[in-house]
Amino acid sequence: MTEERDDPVSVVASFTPGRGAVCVIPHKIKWRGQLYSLGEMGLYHPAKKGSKWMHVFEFSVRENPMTFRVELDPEDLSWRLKEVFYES
Amino acid sequence: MTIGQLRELQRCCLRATLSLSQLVSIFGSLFKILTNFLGFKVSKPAHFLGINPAAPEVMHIDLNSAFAMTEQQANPFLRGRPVGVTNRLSDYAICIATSYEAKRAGIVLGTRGPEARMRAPNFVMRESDPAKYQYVHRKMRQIFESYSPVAYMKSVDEGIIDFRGMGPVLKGRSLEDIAMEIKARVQAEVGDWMTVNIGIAQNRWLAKVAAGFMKPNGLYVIDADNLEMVYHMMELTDLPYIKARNKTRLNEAGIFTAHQFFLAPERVLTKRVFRSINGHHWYLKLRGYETEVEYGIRTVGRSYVLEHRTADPEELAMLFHKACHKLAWRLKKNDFAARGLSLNLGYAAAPHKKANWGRRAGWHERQMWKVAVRRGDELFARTMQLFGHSPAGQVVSSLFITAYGLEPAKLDQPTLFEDWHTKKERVEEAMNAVNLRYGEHTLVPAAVAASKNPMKDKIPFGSIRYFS
Repeated sequence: MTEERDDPVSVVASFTPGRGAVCVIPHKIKWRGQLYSLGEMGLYHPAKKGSKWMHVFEFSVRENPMTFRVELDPEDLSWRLKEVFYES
Repeated sequence: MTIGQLRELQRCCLRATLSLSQLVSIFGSLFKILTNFLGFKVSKPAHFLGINPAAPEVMHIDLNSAFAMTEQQANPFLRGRPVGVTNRLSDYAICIATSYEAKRAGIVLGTRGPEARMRAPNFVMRESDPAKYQYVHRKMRQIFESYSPVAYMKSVDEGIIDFRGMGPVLKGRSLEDIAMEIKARVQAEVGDWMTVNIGIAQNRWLAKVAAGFMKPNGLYVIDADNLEMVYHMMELTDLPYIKARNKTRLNEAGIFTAHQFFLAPERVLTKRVFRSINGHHWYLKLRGYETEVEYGIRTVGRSYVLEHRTADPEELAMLFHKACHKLAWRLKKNDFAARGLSLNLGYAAAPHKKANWGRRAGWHERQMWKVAVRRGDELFARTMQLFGHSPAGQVVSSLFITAYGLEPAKLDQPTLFEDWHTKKERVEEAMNAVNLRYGEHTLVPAAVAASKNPMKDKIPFGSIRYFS
């Protein structure tokens, strides 16, 4: 089941310098007071929103059979949870 | 042995952990042995043009079930499960793309969600996400462009790498070896679930034939030695661009198999089957000669399937207005103005006149004007002029507006005093600037703000020219 959200979330992420770009990986995400840790990274992709390129991460979490789609805003470095997929 | 049997054999071999390169060499040898053994030598007329003897140096790469596989890549829980992609998620949404697991369960394009779930209880329907597919498209293009200066994407999920004339650069490296490297790079750089079919042949069309020969995750080479054998194993409709209409045309000329198509004289194809230069092109491409020419942008269009079908002229006018602004944006981006405009409407019921696109009941009208225009409101006025000729009271389910007769936009003669035309240009420029900064449809004309149909961008199946 898919649930569309637009919630601000707290994320622990690593920023590692790579070849010509910084590699960003979210490791932990706090949503509704619960902490989830990254299981498997599915896909990272940029998405254009006006003149901004949002960074979109889709990954599964270890605690529950579910995947998150979170968006990083490059202007203010804020994270938003955009979608939750519950495996049924 | 039919293609279906071949594919089943390939799957069995894959289960037996044979590598693709081993498979290719086995099939290559098999074809050569069979060709020699069966002696497929058909007497050909003296004027018969032989098969292009050139080495196969054109590579066609095709992402397997692109949209569904990208969804499976993004969501690990979907991997190995039947997945469908639809443009708008609803109870009765139709699959516009399906994964291989879904295809095996009999879920194909056009299957509705409830029917798909009956066929496969663990079926998952996902709403299309163009940003994701554009990303995969860009990554694939980057990979292809690193191999040849003549590398480009033909559509969202398929590309061409032309290695002709690159012998000295390849330094004896085989194209099969490069193909295997590309497969590995796609998995490393795009995603480990992503697989591609690769075909190698003398021309682009045959390379596409080869790529479709051993789906999924296949690699096949067509050359002068095995080309006839390949035709023997294919049905007419297995050939790219030969679907129901072309099949009927060919059948009417007594051509029922791919091999008969290959043997058909040029005169029959040109005068009886296609009745145009296309017959000559088919005659050449079937033999491995290059006929495909890349044209620049000739039309700019906007299509939309209505979420809320309507016969209300006011609602339709709002949609035309919205579509024309998108059209104007695309014309401006490419610095074009259009003299011609065509309007196609798909009807939900009661067909008035059969439209030329697809088999949908609908209506269409086109007109060429003397003066080219590019502003949204000018395009809208012309669209409404065309719409005025359509039958009243029809429930419209889809619309397609195309600007053609494109010519470079001319700079207007500057005037000392601002006239209404200059003012409108400036308003549109200001609107475009705001939308570019804050996102599409941030500012829309007041006339379209009340529309119930959102007209969001969806998967651009055919053209990729708006990606760059």
